[in-house]
Amino acid sequence: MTNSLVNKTGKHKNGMTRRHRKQMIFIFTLMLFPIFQWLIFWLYPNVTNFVLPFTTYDFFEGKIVFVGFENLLTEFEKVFSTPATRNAFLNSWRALPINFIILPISVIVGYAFSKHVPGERIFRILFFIPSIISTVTLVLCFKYIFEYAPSADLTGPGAVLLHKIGIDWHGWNMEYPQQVWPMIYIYCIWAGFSVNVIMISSAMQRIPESLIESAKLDGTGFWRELWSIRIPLIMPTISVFIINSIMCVTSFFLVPMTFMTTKGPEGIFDTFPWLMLRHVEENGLDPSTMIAVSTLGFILMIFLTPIILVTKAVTDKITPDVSF
Amino acid sequence: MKKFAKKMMSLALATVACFTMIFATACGGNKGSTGDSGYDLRITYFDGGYGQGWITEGAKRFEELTGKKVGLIPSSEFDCGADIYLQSGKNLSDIYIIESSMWKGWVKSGYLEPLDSVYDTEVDTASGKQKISDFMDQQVKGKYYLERKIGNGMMQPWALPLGATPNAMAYNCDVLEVLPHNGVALSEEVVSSQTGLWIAPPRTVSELKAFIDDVNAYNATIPEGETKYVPLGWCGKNANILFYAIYSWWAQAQGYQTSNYEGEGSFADFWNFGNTSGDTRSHTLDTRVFLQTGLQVAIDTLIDILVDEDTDQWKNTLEDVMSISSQDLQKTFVSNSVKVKPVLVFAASYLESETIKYNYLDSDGDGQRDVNFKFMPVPKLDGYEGKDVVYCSYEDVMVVPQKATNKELAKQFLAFMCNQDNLEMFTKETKGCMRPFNYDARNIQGGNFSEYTQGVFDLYYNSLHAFEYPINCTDLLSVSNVYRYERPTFIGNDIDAFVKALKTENGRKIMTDIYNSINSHDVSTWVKNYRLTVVQ
Repeated sequence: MTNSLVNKTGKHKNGMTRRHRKQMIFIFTLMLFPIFQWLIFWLYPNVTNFVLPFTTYDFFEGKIVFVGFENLLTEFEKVFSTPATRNAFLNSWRALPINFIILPISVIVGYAFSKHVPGERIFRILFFIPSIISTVTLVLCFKYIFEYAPSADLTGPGAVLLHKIGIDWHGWNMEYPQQVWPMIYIYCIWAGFSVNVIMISSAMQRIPESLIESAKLDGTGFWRELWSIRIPLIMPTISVFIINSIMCVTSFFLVPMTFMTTKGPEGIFDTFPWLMLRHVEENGLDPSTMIAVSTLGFILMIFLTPIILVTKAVTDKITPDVSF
Repeated sequence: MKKFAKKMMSLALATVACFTMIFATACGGNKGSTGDSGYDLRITYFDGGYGQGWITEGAKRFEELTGKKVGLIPSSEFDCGADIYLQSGKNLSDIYIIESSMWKGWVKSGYLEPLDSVYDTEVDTASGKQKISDFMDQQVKGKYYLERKIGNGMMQPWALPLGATPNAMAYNCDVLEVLPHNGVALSEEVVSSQTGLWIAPPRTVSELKAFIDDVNAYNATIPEGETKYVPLGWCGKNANILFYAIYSWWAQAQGYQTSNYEGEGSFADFWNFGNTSGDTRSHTLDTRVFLQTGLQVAIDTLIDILVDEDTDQWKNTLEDVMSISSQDLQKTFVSNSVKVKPVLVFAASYLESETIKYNYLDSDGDGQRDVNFKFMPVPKLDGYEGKDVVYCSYEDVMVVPQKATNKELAKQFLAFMCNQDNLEMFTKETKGCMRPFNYDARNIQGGNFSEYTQGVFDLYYNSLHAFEYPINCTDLLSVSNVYRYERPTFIGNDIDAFVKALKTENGRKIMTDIYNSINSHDVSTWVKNYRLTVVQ
């Protein structure tokens, strides 16, 4: 007895063979769980984070109610009028100059690695060590090297060196943010550029050797090769780096928090992610806290989104249309 | 070969999917606190200054009494990391012992079990059987009451207090004994007329200033290379240590329970934030409490001692005071391993037990303490005639989750720990920490308490206790919801800005700025959340 749904060629009426259908069922079954996970752990939290800023928690009724833009306007106003919130907001953007300092250093070092300079292997190991050690451990080591609290018998070798060369270093003292922030920058640059070096040097190694050789034959020098050939060809990688750098604004908190442990007067060391974390630490995970935290995140998103879109458009425009 | 590889790949993927499914389902279900843990009662506690001795002994006694097995889980977090477990309702302990005020949010969210039956339980005391609610320090009791839902009119207790921590000062006895007084003659009770040396720590602010001058003069005579001294130590990284003095002076100046300034309310009234209604659905708010004159007097007194008004720099204290933490301060005070030591410090009752824990007491390993020190009250304001006022903390609590597996056993344990025997055991095991109940730690037999701890007891039982609660409110419903749920301190929430302002402003300007800031940024949120009526 033949199956009326199967035609003479053995294909099912909708074009699938029985074997093909079995494969599709198997793949679908396999994908069910990850799709389910994505719905629960990505889609639901993100949709909730998008909706919560437009609500408030009624303490008397014990439920969430819609209030429109009230929360957003209040927090937005605080960003400009409250020194503590304003400083937290502005300090979050410090991640940008840090990353834009890291970029040229990474490019040059990545280029040097791709040219197999003497000692390349040792330098690779030395540069990658910070990226394989826990951030908190690394920050604490750096902090103790430059610790200066002689009353408590805490003076690190870095602090001694700074005093010897005439720098009046006061330690991780909240009264001297003009000293502390540059040290945080130095740490971030030192600890942060190794991963980017890997990325850049890997991208450079993909460039066909024939291109480089032909450039050499044309008399291209060391720096000209970097500027006119390598950088344009790795622009897609660089543009990814730039976008990631902008995204770092949303996660720049662990380093200042571990260095200073306190946000300082009027939040001089505070950042938006740290402010959000403190909300939760101090108030727990109740609905009113989640609404407050989501609102802060939403405000950051309002500023970040156009910047990212414009940056993407600009980097797309300046990226040469080549493939290899 | 290709077909075989494909089949193997499919098999591998199917295996991974199966294991993933198994692990996913294993995450579900309510394991609760018993079952496979092997214990009848599971307690998670913050392993901090109280140590482990008291809870271990308490669990052992409870096991002997009831035959139930008690599991103890120490945590390094102030809130025992309980938030996540309470929210999920899974892997809960039956009791959480925390040093955090987060429990009030847990009540709002419905995570906790009310402790009415615990408070109504009768326990054994020196004067016979008493209900826990009557045996507790009556001034403190109201702190642990909340409405399950704001406005329902039913105040219930949700937490049981753990410790009562007096916070005042400590002094270096070794330096005091050799410190000469130069200046206006002082009372025979503090300076010997025969030797001219200090024999007791300063009792008033004037005596404190004289003491400071004497320490500075004495320090100038110490040759270079030897240990130097500064009069007063505090820590910029944990600057709320300054509250120990501010609260004491504030209560003295403003009036502890009865106001010395007409229309301003007393120190106790501050913590009700201008509420006059006994119905939680119609509370009022008057932020002018932040302008209390006594508070400004306290701040000005502190500024006078700590700030050089000519240079706007710190004086009479450690040079790098803003770089040190409370632990660093303890080390500078009790250890000979540092080069500059404070003679007086702001200190809590647990200073001695913490310095023992961190091995600061005997830095040279000769079996003797580096420094002999004692507890002392914050010197009184000149002209104040009343009892010493000491700032006390009662923020450490024990709570029972609403979804705990063995709630009744948990409540039984909480009540058991309130028997006078166990209160005294707590004080002995913690080397002098008290619980806010009506027992006298000075009468504990076999305590072998140090001189420092005996000083703590003397002050605690002979003083007025200044703490964050409107003790004038006998009706629980008339305690402001701003206090119950927000617990703002007099500085708002920026301690670092307050400390910075001490250097350049006076008390009036500081509090006016804080008042304006609260009106601009906090009042609207409070009014919205708690449906307050602003009175101004």
